[in-house]
Amino acid sequence: MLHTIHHWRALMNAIKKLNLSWCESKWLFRKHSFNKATNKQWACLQNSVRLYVRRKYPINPEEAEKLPVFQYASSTQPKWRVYVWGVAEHGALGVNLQLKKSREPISYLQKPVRTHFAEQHKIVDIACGYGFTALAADTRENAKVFGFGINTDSQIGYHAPRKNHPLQLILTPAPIELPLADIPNTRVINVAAGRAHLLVLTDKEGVFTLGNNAYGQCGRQIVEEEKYSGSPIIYNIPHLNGTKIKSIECGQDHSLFVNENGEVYACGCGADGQTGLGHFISEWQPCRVLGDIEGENIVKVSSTADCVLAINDKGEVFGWGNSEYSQLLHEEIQQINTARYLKKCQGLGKIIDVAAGGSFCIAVNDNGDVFVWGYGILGKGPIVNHAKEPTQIPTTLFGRNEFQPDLQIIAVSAGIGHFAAVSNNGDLYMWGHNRRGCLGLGNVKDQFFPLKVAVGAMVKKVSCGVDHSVALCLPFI
Amino acid sequence: MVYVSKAPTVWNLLKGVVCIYKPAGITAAYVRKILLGNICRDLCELETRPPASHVFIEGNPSTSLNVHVSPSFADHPLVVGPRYQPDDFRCTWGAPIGKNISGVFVLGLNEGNKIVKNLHMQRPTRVFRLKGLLGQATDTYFSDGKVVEKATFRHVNRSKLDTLVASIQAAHQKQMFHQSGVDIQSQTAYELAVQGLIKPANSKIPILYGIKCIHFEPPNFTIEVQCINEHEVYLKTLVHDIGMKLHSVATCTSIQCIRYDSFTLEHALLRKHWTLQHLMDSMSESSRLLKETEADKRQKSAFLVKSDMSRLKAPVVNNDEIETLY
Repeated sequence: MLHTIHHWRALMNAIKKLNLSWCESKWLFRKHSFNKATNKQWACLQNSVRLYVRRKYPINPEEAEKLPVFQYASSTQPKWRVYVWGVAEHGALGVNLQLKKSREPISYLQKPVRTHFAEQHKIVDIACGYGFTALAADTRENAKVFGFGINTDSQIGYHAPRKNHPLQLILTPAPIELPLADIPNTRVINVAAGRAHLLVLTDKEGVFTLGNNAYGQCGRQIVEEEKYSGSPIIYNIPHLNGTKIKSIECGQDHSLFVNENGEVYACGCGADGQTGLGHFISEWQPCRVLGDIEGENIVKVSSTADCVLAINDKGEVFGWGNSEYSQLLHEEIQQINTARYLKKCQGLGKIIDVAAGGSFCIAVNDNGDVFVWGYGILGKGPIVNHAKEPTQIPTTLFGRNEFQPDLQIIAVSAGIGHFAAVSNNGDLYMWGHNRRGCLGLGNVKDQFFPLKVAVGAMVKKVSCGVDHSVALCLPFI
Repeated sequence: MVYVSKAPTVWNLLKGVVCIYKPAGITAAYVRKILLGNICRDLCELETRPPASHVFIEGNPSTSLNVHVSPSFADHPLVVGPRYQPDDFRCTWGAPIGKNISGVFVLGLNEGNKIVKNLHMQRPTRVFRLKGLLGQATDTYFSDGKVVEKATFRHVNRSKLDTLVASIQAAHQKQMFHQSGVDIQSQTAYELAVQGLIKPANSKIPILYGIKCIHFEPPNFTIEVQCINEHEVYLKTLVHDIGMKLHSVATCTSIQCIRYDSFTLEHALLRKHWTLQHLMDSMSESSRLLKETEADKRQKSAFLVKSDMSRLKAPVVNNDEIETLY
């Protein structure tokens, strides 16, 4: 009701009718918060304002016919939008477009902000690394991937507007020109980002890798004392033993590839066994991951730090890598270097999506139920911070109740310290450590149970980095 | 079947809670006036107290005097007025209802006032059916106002409306967690949130627990809403906001309350039934309903209890089954 009083004169008239003292009326006039329902005097104001419209002349129906019919703008085709939030100082949000001397750059964004970049390019995939973001665009031009954020290891490519001075921090989306053989027809279908390296998957020409290769995570031979800053090297892995690469994933310092047969290949740092190759050394050449997944048709692989989870088409979960927080096996083994079938996830139903975070894991089954385990803010209140077995997060927190019995979570994602879950309605729920607003809830406080993020669009994919998050969305209309 | 012909007997029985169907376009106070007027009219038609007897001594004192006992004129209904008048009754409501809202309206008579007030203090939820018209916006958010804007609505379809409405519901869900009255980072907040649906700590903040589009035939659409702490203008602005979010405009054409706590449309008396006999039946049915759902024992609960939600599924019907009360 109060939002109908826009003009200050009408407000003054309304306050005068309340017969308050001079001080009270002045205070009330200054207080521009119209939504303070707790304020008793605003409640009185509500009651003292007319709830009907006083008309001088009766309504003439012919005037309605003479009114012009307005057409509001609407998206013509499914236009993909990109929303970003979290820490902006390192440029990973791409919002600090120009550093003017008079204006302070944005330090962090607590709420999702829509990027202008997605309005000019058709974005098909997003990836958040440690302090940088990569967007894959569907174009026939040369620049099919754009990145912004930290570029100390050339993970976003070589950008030197001034000769021999490559940029270490990129604040606006910069194009990464891949050395494609067939530029107009090859399309980028996937991007994956790790701590300091980036993987780009194309439909015809395999995987392109760039960035840090100190552990061989780019899939090429490790060169001693190679200088990664300002390095223009983009390496191509066209196929894996003749098979086409279907999907990619990056952990902290390792890379994972899934080919069309459902086999998983890995390369990079193996100190925690995250490559799953049976040893604890770095390996530059992508080799098949050993263990229980041999012979399985792996559908999805997920890794953010050094724990890796994979699901096959039957919904069974396999894992390898770091298990310091008992994420993987019942036994107290801290590093597992071959893929093992997780008995923990046996009774959870058919798992359709998994995500491995820094010290925790999350899985969702085909019924839309979410299970978490590991250490950290798991999403079951402030008391529960360690769970050795998968525990379900109550579905009432995601909004499933008598009024919405068919609500399901369809996708999950995890960053180093926080979680994200996407429902079938297009709602995004986030919880965990709130590093300078990376949860997007409007404050910097940690969130101990899932809470919906007000994005303003239907979220289709979300990617979580260390201290920022990016979502790929469709508009409602 | 007990037939009572004496008005004083009925007067003593007139205490309880009455559930009536309020017509749209008249205020709650006017409804109360009509109701009390009807009760008084019906009571006066029954056998009322006869006028008191008076000893008449007539005649010439010097010759002979006639003494007879007759009904006193000072007590005759045509002199002092009808035996039962609206002022003799105490009638009030717990949940306020706006002028343009029709539907279930619960009133208390005499001793029933306390029951109705206590019932409302527990803040039960109400279910409304809001009918909207796309393409027009008026200055009062209702169809009785002057049209101020017209917009296209050809692009609006059922699936867009459904996704928008689901998103509104999720946003209110989140608000509900924030309004629980405890710090959201505490264990108590988590325990409350897990329970499901919480009543807001502040009784002036409206929360929509459930919204669904049940009928869509452009430009008309109907939305069913289960809410708490709402008011008439809030529901009208809800329809308007839905229109804005759909990149069009909408006005509300009718608001019908179909449920209040455990009182549904089946229990509500139509205008033609606002007579003494039907009101007495309604009172007995209401007392039975309140006893069944244990209205007096729900005071301590901060959550929506089963009886608040048990009947939501019934009113949600398909397009074919909707009855339009025109």
